Amino acid sequence: MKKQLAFALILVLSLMVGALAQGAGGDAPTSGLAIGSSLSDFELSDVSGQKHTLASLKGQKGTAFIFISVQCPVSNAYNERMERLYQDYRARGINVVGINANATETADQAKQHAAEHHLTFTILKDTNNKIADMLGATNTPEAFLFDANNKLVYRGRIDNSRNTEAISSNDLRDAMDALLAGRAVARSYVRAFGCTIKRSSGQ
Amino acid sequence: MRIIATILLATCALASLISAQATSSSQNTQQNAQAVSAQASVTVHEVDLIGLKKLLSREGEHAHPLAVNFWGTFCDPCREEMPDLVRINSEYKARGLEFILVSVDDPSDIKKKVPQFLQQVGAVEMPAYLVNASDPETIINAVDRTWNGGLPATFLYDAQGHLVFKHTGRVNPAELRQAINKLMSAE
Repeated sequence: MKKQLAFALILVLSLMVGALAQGAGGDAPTSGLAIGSSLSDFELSDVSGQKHTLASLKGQKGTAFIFISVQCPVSNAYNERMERLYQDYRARGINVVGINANATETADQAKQHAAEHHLTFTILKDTNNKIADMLGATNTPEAFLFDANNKLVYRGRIDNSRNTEAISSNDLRDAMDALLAGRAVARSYVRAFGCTIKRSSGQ
Repeated sequence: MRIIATILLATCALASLISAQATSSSQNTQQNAQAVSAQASVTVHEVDLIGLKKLLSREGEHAHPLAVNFWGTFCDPCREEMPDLVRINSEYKARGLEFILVSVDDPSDIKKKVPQFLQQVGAVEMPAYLVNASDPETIINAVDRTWNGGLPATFLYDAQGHLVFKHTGRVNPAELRQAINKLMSAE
């Protein structure tokens, strides 16, 4: 009788813990870098050919990497919003960095695109999808927010609407504000529709 | 008498032509009906999250295999793969596969942009929907928790509603056919 009771109690407790864990940070990404994991240093050239490392790119309070595209209309719908995020947060200690990981788009095309759309943040060219694979990025646009110690605190969409009139959830901005305020990010993984990254491996 | 017969005959012919148009979306496989339905314009039905969940559920009368493709007119690989999906649909429809298209375009495009593209590419025999929900996350979760929301995305469910195949990005038609064949031989 005692054994059965103990077993039932353990079962109930583990279910409760499981349920609590589920509710804590929302859904969890199933591939790439997990929330809370650290980003290891890397070296990557930007679209002008200049080399950068994580150490040189990171902001004092954090870094937001956003996978972008030249041709994807979803990514392009966010051009102004991304530039605004860069302008709003660089002085507050979070650096916004773009990453083009599309094998179908050249560094020159990405550079021209940035000039045309007035994107002034650094844009890295992720040749052979090294960083995209490391992080598990699959779409554009897709953001990865790291804290001052390069720990992943948010991953996913910029906000919930392609067109600006229907935005009701500013997920990336909220995460950046939480990071600056020393608060936990409410929802650490939130998804949206985007164009799949064209990987050089043909995935 | 002859004139009445001719008029009656003409009326019958006209009536059958009209009814052929009306039943173009049914299981009618007559050549005539098919030719007429190809000319008919595509209708895209708007669904919300609850409507989408209903479509994906395999209960009751919907208990046959289901293929779903999520796409958008704004997505190049989505548009590029559509002819492949149209072909696969025509091959497997008679064998009991239901193949539906779900657009994530802006709801304002439901009357023109979306149906025009489907018409253009010949996707006239595939039920077409546009999902309208304020939060894409809820849609993505309803379909597959592991889906990152990348487009295009193709999912295959068996008659019991189990997900047996999924692919994000342009689908390889041979791979999809293989998955459908496997599913149909197991059913």
